[in-house]
Amino acid sequence: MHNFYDEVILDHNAHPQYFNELKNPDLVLQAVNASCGDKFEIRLKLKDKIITEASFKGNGCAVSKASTDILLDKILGKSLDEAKAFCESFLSAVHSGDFSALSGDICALEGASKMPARVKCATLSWQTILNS
Amino acid sequence: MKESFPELDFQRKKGNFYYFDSAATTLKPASVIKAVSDYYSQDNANTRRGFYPLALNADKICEGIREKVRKFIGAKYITECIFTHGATEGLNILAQSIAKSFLKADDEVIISQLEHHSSLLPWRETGAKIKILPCSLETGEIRPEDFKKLISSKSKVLVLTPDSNVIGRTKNFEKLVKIAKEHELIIVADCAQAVAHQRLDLDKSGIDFAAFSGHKMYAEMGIGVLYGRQELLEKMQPQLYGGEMVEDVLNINNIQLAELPYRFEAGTINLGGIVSLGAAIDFMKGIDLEPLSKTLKVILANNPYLKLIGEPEGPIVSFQLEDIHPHDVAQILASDGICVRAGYHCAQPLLEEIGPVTRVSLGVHNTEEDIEYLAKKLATIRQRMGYA
Repeated sequence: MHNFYDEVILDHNAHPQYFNELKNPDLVLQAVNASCGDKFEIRLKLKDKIITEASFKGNGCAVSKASTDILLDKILGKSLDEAKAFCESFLSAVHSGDFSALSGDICALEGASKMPARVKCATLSWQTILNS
Repeated sequence: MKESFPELDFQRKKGNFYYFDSAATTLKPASVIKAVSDYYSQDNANTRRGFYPLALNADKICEGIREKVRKFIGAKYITECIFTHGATEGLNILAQSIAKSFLKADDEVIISQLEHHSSLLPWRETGAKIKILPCSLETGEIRPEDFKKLISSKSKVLVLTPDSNVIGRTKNFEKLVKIAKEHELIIVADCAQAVAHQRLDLDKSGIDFAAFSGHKMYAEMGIGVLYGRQELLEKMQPQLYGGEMVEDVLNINNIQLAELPYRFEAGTINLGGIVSLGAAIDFMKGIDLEPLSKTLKVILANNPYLKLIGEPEGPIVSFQLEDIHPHDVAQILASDGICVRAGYHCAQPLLEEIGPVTRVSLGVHNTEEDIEYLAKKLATIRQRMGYA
């Protein structure tokens, strides 16, 4: 079995950088996977259409929590449209299993693409941003 | 007992394999596999249609096993045992047929919060008014006083499982059935789990209708039984129409239904599955999971980070491990060769408040050593996930 509980996932799960509740957010999104009980509220602050601050709060498995933390780190400094395009490229990497165009912590989520039962966990928040 | 299961041998040649998911489906004993193989190799024929010896023998096999099922579940008459393709089909047939035959507009169906979606959702489709009978997840109890409060003059049906697929045995089951009887409610019981724990004595139990699957009691997938009291079944219309469930089709507006139980068995029945059910009943004789169930709870309770859900009784136990999502628990255990289930277990109304859980369910192949291995691996999970 592919072990995707590597150090990067474990660290983002146990010590997430963005796991708090931003005050006065400009955008509040609900990331919900009813079938496994994952539920996060993502909050974003925008300045001149650029995402300047981000947070998330809620409950989910290690994969969904780590994935959300990685996502928020990656979209800071991007416009919402740029963030959506980025999410789209990640989702397509998960579905194709080809992570060659991606780099950094995000590659720790590659294991999820090999386990159909965990794809939803890895993509929940990314899909939420894309659908916003 | 382990040698009875070829799949255990096969999987263990590849690595660690500890199967704790019998509530989802049991492993299949060699005797069941052989019985099915023999049937298809030697005795395969359609039932109630032929005059040649092979076909007549198929009828004999079918009715012989129907009688075996009757004894196994404690039904009064053989006509009360209807073969289906599984519990879900049986429960859907029951909801539709009971609603059409016995319910009027505004009548109420009281459904316990313990129910599997298969036992809950079919009633939603009948248009009956549904009242949910609450269950405490702290104690695992449905309180008789809560049930009494819910009953009104419009209440006609109680849907209550004897064994939950999440928290095991239903506490106060007999008391709740007695109250239902006093109020002349029809009692429908999803027995998908209880049948594997050999706890059915249906005629004496007060249960009016029941359904279960073969595959959770060591038989094949795709075979099940619907039980109904004869006097009630006689007043009900079938939901499936087709071959061999009618005596006579005089014209399209004038048909005469076949006698019980055949009027509820439209089309070709799964005789291979029925054979497996018969072999499974033979296999289960003398098996008692109670001592191992107690051991499971004692050993799991030693983990200070593990919370058992609903003070479970019987061979089905669910829990939450502090800080760790059940999907992560199940996946890490899987990497150790341990098979458990995690999530809502198709019982979302029950778990809505506390969220998903990890479930361990025992089968006759499990041993105390299996449980000790499980407990040992469970004790490592928090550390492996980066928690102290």
